Amino acid sequence: MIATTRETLAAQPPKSTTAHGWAAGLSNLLGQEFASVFRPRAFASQSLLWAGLSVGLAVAVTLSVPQAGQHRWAMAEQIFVVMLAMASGVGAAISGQGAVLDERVSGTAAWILSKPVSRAAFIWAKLIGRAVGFLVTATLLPTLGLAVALAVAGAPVPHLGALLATAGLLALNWSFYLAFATFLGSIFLRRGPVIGLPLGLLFSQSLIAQFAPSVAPYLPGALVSFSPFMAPNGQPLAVLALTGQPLGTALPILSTAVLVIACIALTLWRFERQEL
Amino acid sequence: MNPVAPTASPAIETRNLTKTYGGAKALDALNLVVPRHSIFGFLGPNGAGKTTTIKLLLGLDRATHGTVRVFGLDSVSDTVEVRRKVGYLAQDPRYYEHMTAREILEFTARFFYTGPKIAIRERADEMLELVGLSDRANRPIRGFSGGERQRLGIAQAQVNSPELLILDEPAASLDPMGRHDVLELMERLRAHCAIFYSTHILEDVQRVSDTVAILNHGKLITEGPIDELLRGREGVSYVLTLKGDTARAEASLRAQPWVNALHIARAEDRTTLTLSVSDEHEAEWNLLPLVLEDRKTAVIEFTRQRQNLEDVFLAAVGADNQGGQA
Repeated sequence: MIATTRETLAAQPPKSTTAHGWAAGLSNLLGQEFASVFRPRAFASQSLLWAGLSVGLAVAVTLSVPQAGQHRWAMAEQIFVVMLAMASGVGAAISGQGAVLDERVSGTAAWILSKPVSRAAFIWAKLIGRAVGFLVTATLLPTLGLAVALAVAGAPVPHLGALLATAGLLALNWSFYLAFATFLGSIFLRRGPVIGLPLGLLFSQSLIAQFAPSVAPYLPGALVSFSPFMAPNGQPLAVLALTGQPLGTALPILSTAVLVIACIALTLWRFERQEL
Repeated sequence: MNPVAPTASPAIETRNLTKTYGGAKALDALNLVVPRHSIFGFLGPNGAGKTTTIKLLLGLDRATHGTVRVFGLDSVSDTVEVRRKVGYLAQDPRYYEHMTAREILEFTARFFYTGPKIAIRERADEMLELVGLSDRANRPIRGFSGGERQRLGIAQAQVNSPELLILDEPAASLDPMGRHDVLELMERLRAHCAIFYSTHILEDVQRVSDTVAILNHGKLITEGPIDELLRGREGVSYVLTLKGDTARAEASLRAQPWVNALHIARAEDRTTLTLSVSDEHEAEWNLLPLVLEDRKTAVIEFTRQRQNLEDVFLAAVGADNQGGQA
């Protein structure tokens, strides 16, 4: 039964928000996103998932290969980079799909945007929330896990700068898939292209590079791929960073950063004009 | 700086509001004025453009032509400020399923209020009480029935004490008791805000609305105070069932300047007169005395005939559809 007391309706409201422009609603949305990412159970399961997929697999494969000494742990580092780059790329694409597409389809985007919330704030909250979640659970914690595993095994542990540089390159790699899938979610209302295009690109970059070698250094895969077509010197940038070797080129970093920025800019532009 | 709305502006004012989708007009030059503190029923068949209009009011879509002003604020350039003054309940309200009803309301409230936390919690609790969901406050809404979702929708729409409530089919998934409660709530809220709502339940509109607009194929075909619409173009009608010799009464009524039309139907020993009148006051005071002047005539029944909204709706939409086909 709906209450009929006049007192209920006449209650004094708390202090009103004043944020307007692009930031309207951002802090509340971010709080909601962070609460979702850092819910203890979700956070623990995500952290274990990414660490297991990268560090666990790298250690398991390394221990199962009868190699000795420092090479064994160099291989572990390479497997770690490949596995984490691939898994976090897939994860970011799936997460990016949910950022806009799922909310458009379910109607929750229309609900949120019927409140004093800017569309830009909605997109930024989705991107920042997911990016922070991925940065912690799918990048920093696994990298820390790798360092701990190497230390426990008595192998040489990369110095902090090398670990952070590797984490940064891995983060740049998945940022592209997150931003790309989010952008596609602002265009399409079907899951197929929104998840298919980023994953297709993730797994076909080596092929693209084989047929169009001049494009290879501009693709995000150049940061993390061992493909000879993408890493002519045999080592992707993330492994070079982890092992403390000079990167040689900053082109993949710059081009991926530009692609990420372009995807975000296009998402903001497109979503601003989107019917909800 | 936040835009400041003129104080005398109506709650909603649309001018030539038009929306086309790939060449098809969903809304065609809609001109509407919704006064403050009114309950405005927005009617139309499916696909008439009601939800499109609501989306344009809220800035959830962009008009192809025309403007929408809410309390004098432009719904595009001042969209955030407009939404600060508005509460909205969607036709099929959707929320984050893992959240509880209280979490949904607190989350919604934080778009309008900075705090303190306790005040936001109290506000959410007031809203839960308002819609009778206090006992389900801590349950995830994925288990809520359609009616409970609708109640939660009303609560979240009201959480900011809006100056304008926009409700898209507010009673659609409610049982009769729930519908009754919602209508009662709307009547009480009139003192605090304007209510603009779309519905298919014409009985509800007739009960609570003071103004009605009917939309068909994206065009406004009728608009006005509900009493005027129910009175119709022919004016008020009265029906008299008489016995005996009615010739003198008929002649006497025909001679009255306030009688627009007189329809006579005879069956067995009874005569039924249906009159439409232009002056309700004259009819109220003189109609029966005129008939009863003749002692040969007995009045068996006397009723004031009032169209219901369904008649008005069907007539308006039917006429518009026929006009469109011609």
